[in-house]
Amino acid sequence: VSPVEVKEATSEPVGRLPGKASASERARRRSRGWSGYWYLGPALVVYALFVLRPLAESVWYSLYAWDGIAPATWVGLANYSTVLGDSALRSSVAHTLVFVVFYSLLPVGIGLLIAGIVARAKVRGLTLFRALLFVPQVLPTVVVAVAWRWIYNEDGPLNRLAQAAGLGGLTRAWLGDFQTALAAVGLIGTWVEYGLCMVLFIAGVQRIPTHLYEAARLDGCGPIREFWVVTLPDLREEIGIALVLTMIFALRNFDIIWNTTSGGPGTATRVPSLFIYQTAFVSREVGVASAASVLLTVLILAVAGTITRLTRVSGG
Amino acid sequence: MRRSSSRLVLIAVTGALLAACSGPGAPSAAKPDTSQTVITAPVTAADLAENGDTTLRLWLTEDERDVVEKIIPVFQRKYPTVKFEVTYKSFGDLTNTAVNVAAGPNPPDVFQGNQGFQVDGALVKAGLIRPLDDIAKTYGWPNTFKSGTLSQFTWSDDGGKFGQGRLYGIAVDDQSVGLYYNKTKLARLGLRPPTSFQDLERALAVARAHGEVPVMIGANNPAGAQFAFANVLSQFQSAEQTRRWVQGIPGSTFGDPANRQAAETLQKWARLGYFGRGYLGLSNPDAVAKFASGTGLFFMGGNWQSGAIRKAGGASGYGYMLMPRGASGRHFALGSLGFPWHISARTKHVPAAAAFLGFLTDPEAAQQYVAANRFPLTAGANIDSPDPLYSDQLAATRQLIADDGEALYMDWTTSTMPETLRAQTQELMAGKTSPEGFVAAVQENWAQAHGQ
Repeated sequence: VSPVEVKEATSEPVGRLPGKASASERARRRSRGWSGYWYLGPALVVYALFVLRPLAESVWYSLYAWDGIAPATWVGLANYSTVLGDSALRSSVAHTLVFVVFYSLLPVGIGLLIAGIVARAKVRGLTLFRALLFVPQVLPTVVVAVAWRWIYNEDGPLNRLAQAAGLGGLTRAWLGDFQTALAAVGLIGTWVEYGLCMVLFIAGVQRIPTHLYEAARLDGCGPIREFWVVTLPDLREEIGIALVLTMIFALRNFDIIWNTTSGGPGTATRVPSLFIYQTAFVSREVGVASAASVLLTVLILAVAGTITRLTRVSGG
Repeated sequence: MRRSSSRLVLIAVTGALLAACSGPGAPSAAKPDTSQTVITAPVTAADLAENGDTTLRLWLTEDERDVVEKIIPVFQRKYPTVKFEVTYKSFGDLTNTAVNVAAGPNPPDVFQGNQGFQVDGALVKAGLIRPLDDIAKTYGWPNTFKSGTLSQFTWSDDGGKFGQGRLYGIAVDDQSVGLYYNKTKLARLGLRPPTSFQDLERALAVARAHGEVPVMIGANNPAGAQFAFANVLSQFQSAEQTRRWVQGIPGSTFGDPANRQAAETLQKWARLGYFGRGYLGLSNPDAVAKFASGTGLFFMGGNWQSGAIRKAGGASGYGYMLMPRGASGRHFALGSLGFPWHISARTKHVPAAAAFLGFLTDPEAAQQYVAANRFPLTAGANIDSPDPLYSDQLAATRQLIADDGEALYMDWTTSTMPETLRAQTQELMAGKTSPEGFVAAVQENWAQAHGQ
């Protein structure tokens, strides 16, 4: 309820006939409620034009066999069964699950760890520290991918570091090795995303009343217990937001993978978004690609919805 | 809030269902203009001047920039009424958008595609490009090029059969894959450019024993992976066989002993460390850069990649050769003419476009290709270059053409073959799949597309 409405409700004149007044009041309120949407108008038009319309078109295309040029043929739900029956696509979904760990769970974990430390100790130069750790979020992903391609290179800094540390036996082309490519690409995502989680959590921690920490300390909590009973429960909302944002990033990620391994070596880092790209633009099966993107959208909505529901603070 | 958002989704879905009454892809969008002029005699400047100024809109790969920027002024001296608007795209951007751009409301008059089913096949199938047989006859292309060479631009009118039917494109220069070598290293190891398969394997073993990387490749991408496999295949297969397979001709197969032997050999070389380390994480441009800066005895790459070596100052320290003649007794290399030039089926400027393509295939324009270190088949015998690496490459190209050894590119054969071939070759080289598994997977992709 907006403050304006609260004020209005309480300033209602006493002694008015309840039935009659409330009807006109309700009508007035309703028109006022809708009038708020005028402010949304411009954004809504853009959203409808560039998000909802393409979305609807994708649903439409997904029901046709179409090469993008010639007239299409109606095939009903056949494209969906093609997508669901594709064994290569199923294995690429498994890669996505691994990416969820690297792109979402790990950054949230690291963010929490840093937030926990910040909550406990006064860190000098926190603003600078926070800004620096946030940089990966701001960089274009293509730049990030190119930089990491260099880091992971056969004679890149990572291998030189390993050699200097006497671990020459470990050196390899990290992105070109069947054993390491998936994790190597995953860690790039971790690096990109943990800054966002950290900033969200530090902001959240600063909102937690200090007397809660004082109380916890008086009750004899150590730093770890304090984290579990004060910091973590109070960050629930922020964790929810961080999980939704990073999971969406993990599930639809394309650019980092495309610019590092393009799905290789072999099929070791292939994910559904690469399948969609290749099907739509290389082999021109627009219907199949649309069906796959619709399914991916549904999956992302389901995941985001579940997380939002689970982390919602009740009664807030 | 939740209710209103679900209402929006409902509206969106309803809209989609209403629109579903007619399918996407307006049938009128790509109708070829049947009233287009037929060219019966070389177009003269006076012919073009009749209609006042003409602006030709061109969509080309970035690789053409050097040559085209020099050719246009020369052309305009002859045809002063023709203006140009040129858009350059990276190869990937061009091939992935050419068909849609050509099908769009305002297609470029002249543009490049790519041989094979993914781009050219789709262009022909959708009726987006104009057959060039009249122009070919007028400008004598059947005399300039062998019919086998021109077949990479021929299609049945439904785009279903490759290598037969009408001519839909043209290009000027040879782009083929060979073997670069580091002259200094070769001499230091007491070796000479290999002349047979045994010779080559011996050279690789010697290099390996002396701690050199025998062959540099950059195989994290479809091109680099394919170069490695095809160069080995050249020792067992004839160019003719591979070409038929690429063109999807019935009865050809990837599952023959030659391809299996090539796969076995490639896997063996990888196991013996002949490609060094990390090649599956290396891009093709990175690989040639490393080779140019002194890593590796050989490099498997395209004749268009010498620029990187020249830039590193290696034009005299490096040589270029075709793979030795293999079992077929003739040279075999992945190779074709450059990216094909097409004329839009809906252009209003056929005479100007024809004049430009005619000029492109003229010996006068060939000089500009030579100046850009490319290998035009339209030049006379007397090309001269002070650059020893270019001379090597020119000699190799001529040998290849004389042997009818251009095998085309294997990933043309289906639209998903680039990806399949990349993934399968990488798995083969890493020992993740057997030579039999490799051959079967590639053939399965082919058979699916060509219905066999």
